[in-house]
Amino acid sequence: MRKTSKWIVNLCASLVACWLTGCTTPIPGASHDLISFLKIGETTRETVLLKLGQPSAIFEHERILTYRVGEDPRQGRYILTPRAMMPWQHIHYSLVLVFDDHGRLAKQNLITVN
Amino acid sequence: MTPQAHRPPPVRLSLLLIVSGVVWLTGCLIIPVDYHAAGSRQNINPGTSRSMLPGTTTKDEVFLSLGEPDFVSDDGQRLGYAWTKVKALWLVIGGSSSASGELERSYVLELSFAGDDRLAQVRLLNEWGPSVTPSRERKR
Repeated sequence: MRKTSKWIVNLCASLVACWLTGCTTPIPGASHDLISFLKIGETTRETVLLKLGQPSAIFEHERILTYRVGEDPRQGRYILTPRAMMPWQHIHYSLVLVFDDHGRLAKQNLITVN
Repeated sequence: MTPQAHRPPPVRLSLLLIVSGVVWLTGCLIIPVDYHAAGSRQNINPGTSRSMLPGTTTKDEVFLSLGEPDFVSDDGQRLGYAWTKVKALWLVIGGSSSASGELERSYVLELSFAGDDRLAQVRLLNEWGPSVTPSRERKR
């Protein structure tokens, strides 16, 4: 009898926890400060590649890198890989990073695309 | 006996009668709409080209204001930004079956740059259908 009531309490606790967290699946790499490390004149291309991974596109011999960024209200922003069909679905921003001749970040912008 | 004044029916009522008649006679209904198709980017429109000034706007400025392009030429001197809009919804009713769908129009804003990376030419291409691919362009 005592075992049953303990099981019910555990179940209720799990349900409450699930309700509180919204039963959301954790998004790998999602963060509210995903791009806060970017500093003009300081951040190097290597640091960007290490922190954000492979860009969605590379232009002008790696002078310009672009990333596609999704956003979840609870978990924050995250990097998305482009898809052949419906390439901008679920993508909220296009992150454009322009580097100088020394590979340091010169300009950046997070453009809302959807 | 005074002659009765014959007022024409309101325009909306006439339109409704015409649409109903067409649907009844042909079994086809087309509703004009105007919204972005699922999976399309929404930050570009035909008016975007007005902010692009040939001889002044640089390639970096285009990247930083419009984001990642959908197309780029092999030499990197032409960029294409694509989007698709749903322009009409159609419905066909025939006997016991029916079908419906979306009528899409696709656009590409094509930006060509000169040797100094300043904007040389702006073109807006559009076609009916889910996509328009500029010739001699490779998709990203």
